Amino acid sequence: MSAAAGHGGERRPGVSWRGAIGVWAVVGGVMLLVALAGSLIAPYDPAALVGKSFLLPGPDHWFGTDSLGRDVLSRVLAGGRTAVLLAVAAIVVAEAVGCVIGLLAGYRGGLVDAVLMRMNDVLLAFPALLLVLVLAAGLGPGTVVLVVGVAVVNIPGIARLARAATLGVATTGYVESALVRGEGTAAILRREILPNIAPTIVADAGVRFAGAFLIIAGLNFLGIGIQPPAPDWATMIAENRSYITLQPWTVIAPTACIALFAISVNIVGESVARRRSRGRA
Amino acid sequence: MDRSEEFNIRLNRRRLLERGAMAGAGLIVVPSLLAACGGGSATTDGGATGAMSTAANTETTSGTPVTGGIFRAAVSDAGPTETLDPHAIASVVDQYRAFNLYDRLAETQIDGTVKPHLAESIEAADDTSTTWIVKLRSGVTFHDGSPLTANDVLWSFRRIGGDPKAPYFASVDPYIDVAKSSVKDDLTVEFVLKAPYGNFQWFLSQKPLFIVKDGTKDIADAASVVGTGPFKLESFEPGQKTVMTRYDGYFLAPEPYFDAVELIQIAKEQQKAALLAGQIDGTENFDVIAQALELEGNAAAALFRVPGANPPQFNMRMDVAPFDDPKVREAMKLSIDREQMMSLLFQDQATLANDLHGASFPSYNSSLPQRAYDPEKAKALLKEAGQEGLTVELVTGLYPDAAQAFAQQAKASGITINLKKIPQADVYNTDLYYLKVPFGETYWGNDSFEYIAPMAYFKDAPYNETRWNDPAWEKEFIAASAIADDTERNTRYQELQVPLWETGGEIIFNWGDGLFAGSPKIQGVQPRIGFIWNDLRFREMWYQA
Amino acid sequence: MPGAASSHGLIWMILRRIGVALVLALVVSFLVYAATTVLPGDVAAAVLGRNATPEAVAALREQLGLGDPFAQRYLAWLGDLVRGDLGTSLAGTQMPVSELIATPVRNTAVLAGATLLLLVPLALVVGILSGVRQGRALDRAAAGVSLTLTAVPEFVVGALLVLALAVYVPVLPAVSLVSGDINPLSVPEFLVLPVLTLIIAGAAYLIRIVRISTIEAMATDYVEAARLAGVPERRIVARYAVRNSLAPTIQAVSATAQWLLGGIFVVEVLFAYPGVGNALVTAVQVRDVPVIQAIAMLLALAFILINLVADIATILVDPRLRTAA
Repeated sequence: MSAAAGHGGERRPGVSWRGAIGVWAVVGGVMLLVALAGSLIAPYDPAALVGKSFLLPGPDHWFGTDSLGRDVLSRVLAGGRTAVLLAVAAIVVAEAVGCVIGLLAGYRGGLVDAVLMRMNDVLLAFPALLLVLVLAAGLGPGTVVLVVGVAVVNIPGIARLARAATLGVATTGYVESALVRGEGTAAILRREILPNIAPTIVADAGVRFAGAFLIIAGLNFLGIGIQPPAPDWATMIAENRSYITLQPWTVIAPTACIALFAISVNIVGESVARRRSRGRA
Repeated sequence: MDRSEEFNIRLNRRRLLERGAMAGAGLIVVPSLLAACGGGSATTDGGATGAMSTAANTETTSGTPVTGGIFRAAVSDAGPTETLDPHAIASVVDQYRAFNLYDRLAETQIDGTVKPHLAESIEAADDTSTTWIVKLRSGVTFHDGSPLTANDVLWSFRRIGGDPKAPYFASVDPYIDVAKSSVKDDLTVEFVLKAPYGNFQWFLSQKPLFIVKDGTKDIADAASVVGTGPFKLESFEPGQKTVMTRYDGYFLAPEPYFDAVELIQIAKEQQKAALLAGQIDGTENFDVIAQALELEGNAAAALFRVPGANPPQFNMRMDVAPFDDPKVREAMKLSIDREQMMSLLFQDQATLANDLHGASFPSYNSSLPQRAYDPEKAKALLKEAGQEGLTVELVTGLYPDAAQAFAQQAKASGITINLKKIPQADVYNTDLYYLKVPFGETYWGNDSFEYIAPMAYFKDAPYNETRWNDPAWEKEFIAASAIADDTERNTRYQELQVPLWETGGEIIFNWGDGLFAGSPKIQGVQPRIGFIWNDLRFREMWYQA
Repeated sequence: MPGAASSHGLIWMILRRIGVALVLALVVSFLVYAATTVLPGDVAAAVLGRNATPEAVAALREQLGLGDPFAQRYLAWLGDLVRGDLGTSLAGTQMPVSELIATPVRNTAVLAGATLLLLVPLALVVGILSGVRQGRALDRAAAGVSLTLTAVPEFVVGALLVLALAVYVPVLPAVSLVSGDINPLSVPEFLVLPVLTLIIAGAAYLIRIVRISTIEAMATDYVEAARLAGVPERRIVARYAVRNSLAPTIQAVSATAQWLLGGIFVVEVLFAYPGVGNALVTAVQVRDVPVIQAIAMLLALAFILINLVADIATILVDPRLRTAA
């Protein structure tokens, strides 16, 4: 057995692995671009009724048309933006709330700390999707439920991370000298602690974004999130499932988009995380 | 005392369930989350659209009926809630059985008229249409051999309409005074009504009014199913299978032709594959019309239709802006492209609708001009109304596809239709949307004007979705309804549809067909309204020799 | 260490875990009840819909006890729940919820059971082999595939499988409509695609954990010592690697089972498989509150129970944890 196993670490990635990451990074970049700006190059208005229903791919409609005679290519190009932006919104909200809680918990400890840990336990006792589904039962479907639900799912984890990072920083020299200078809690948190824990938080946010995107896609698929006529990859899969034998491209195209986007974000995120952990070690 | 009460219209949950069941049996463009994917796995040919050609043999009646064979029909909602009680039918499969094990006093015909069935004649005893004499056919027998008598009829009506706890109480009690109604002789019943009702013959053809045997106990028990219908109950396995065999003593002999009918539970999405595999001889309506059309030209299947089963409908509330202006309403009606809708929603398996209900019935006013897509005229009307560039919100839960298409079509008139997509279950939520939103949708099915009017166009009617409010019109309608003569009554009904067409708030644009398929050997299936299979009359069908 | 004290500590630890689980269940029940009854608009009217005559609404409000204060309603509901009374469905036939969800629960159990039965051994074998042969072809292939697949949501995996195996090469049904009381085990062809989807979507995570645990176990001093003593590699793997990676593997299996509870919704909806996930999504659509509450509680309790069992199992198999108490 190779001695390279070291401290339970992993074999250094070879050249091909790094090349693969490069390829996936490019794919991820392209998919992100498609998601955010794809509607700009769409040949048709994604909502326009441009032909007969269920046309198969052809020169006028590269991916054919859907049940309402809309251009599938244009819908796919326009269908990533909302979900990506909603995932960003959910993570921004979660990070904002989670960091404040985590900072306070780490710095002040005590009650906040205890409540936070219990909250986390409760949330861990619930599949994320079920949690948002139950929220949707209460609030009714829509994008607000998506953002709130996904944020709620992420807040405890972020708070825990922020708390741990804060605990690490709180005992360092900066903070002690700031305390000596007589600065208030808010100022210390903002000026001394936040900048120090920011890199950890940001790296974590990237991974969380990928997770948020997947939950949102799942909920859209279940019909709980984005509502028609807004084009959305997951919603397209759900809508067109019944027509899969008639016009498979209505399902293939959005399926490929979600798969490529999710895989590339995950692989790139993973490699960034590895590099960071190697850097720390 | 307000008019609707005077007219004694009360609907209950049952009737709506019935309507729901109809919707389930006829194709309705309600995409549900659970409308499962795929359509079986057998056919993968991607060919999609195309106008209906000769292939759909909507008329297969040819040659002389032949006796014999077993007809295996697929049903999709058999389950723990099934019942054999014909006066408590709820699932579609319950209706499949009740329609064939029992008979009603009258039956609807293919042209929408009604004829006496178990009855020989149904006649008003007075000028006010409040007392009706029903004479029964002689020689009708129950499956146990006993003859049908007037006592059975009165007992049946008292069973339905005499106990407030009975499921269909409200479909009889507001109309018939079952206590005062009486048996005149062995074959004659006198019905005493609570208010004048001219079309009592139609009334008696309604779904739950089946005649059971006087004094039958445990009617829902398989051992005590004794009807006069063309088929006898052979076996009943809830959730799986029902077998009914021919009743040789049926009063309409030589009907029925099949030796037996089997109702087999198969999920809708699997029925096409099951038919092609020879496991069944008939499907239910297809949820996706294009998938039915894939069977065109397939020698292993014949395609049948229920014409105009599905009229999607948008409603404008006439009492709130901007729809309180008749010009705006007219502009909206001119901004929907009915031809394109037909192509996209129904693959052209539909006919144009003209913003009125009941196109399949004798009371329909077919002389009014067909509204067409005319964005220019709509624009002009909006300008006159001072509403250029109108923006409205359409609340949609039943027909999101149609709503999305409408929003695109109305752009040409300068109208912006914003969609508010709500769950299907919330469409009839009176707290949130139903009867509240200025611009919404509804489903009535293919029913006659006179059936819908008192529920939808009376000021205080329970489902006055558009707020049609015209006391003189209501009075006219009530007067017309008391007329016993069909022609005269229908003429009056047609006149009443004119103002409704001119200024009403309903946008009814297509009569979408329901398509279903069966073995190519099946004969005798006609393109008629109601349920599939000739309104579930298996007795009229046979296999080609 | 004195045995008595250790087993005392052990029992105490297990009891404490059980206590925590019970408190969790209580909090979760409160959250479920609160989230499902704080509707915009009135539940009663929402449920009755078009038939909402004032009398009907009033009657249903009474039935649901909506007039009472929230705390009282919650406690009444909780009391019923503890006694096993799940209430009556508000939709359609108004059946008792317990009756309504009995078949879906059985079907989901079949689907989840079949998935775990295939997934866990598969992941263990691949994970341990990858860990032992770290860096070799199998490891690299497994790593690549699992890295790719953890990212892809279940409905996308499922949609791809449907395209491949039901549309282009039509060998399997695209939907798993197991109707009525039929046990899905009697129509195994309906189980293939859902189970395959869940395995593909879920195996990656488990393989990764097992692999890392194996690598860690293989790097311990025991293993090094055993190697120096000339113990054959095969025995080292069997004795040390497998045993030492047991605790993290139990945790990973439990995490997979929990993931399954979340992922099963989407797969059930995709294949129209009549399980609790499908029932829950339908109930959310028609606002059938008692059904939503019952299924949400059932899933949350299963979730907590899996956690509890895994924790106890870990305590029992891992001597280090035992003394840590």
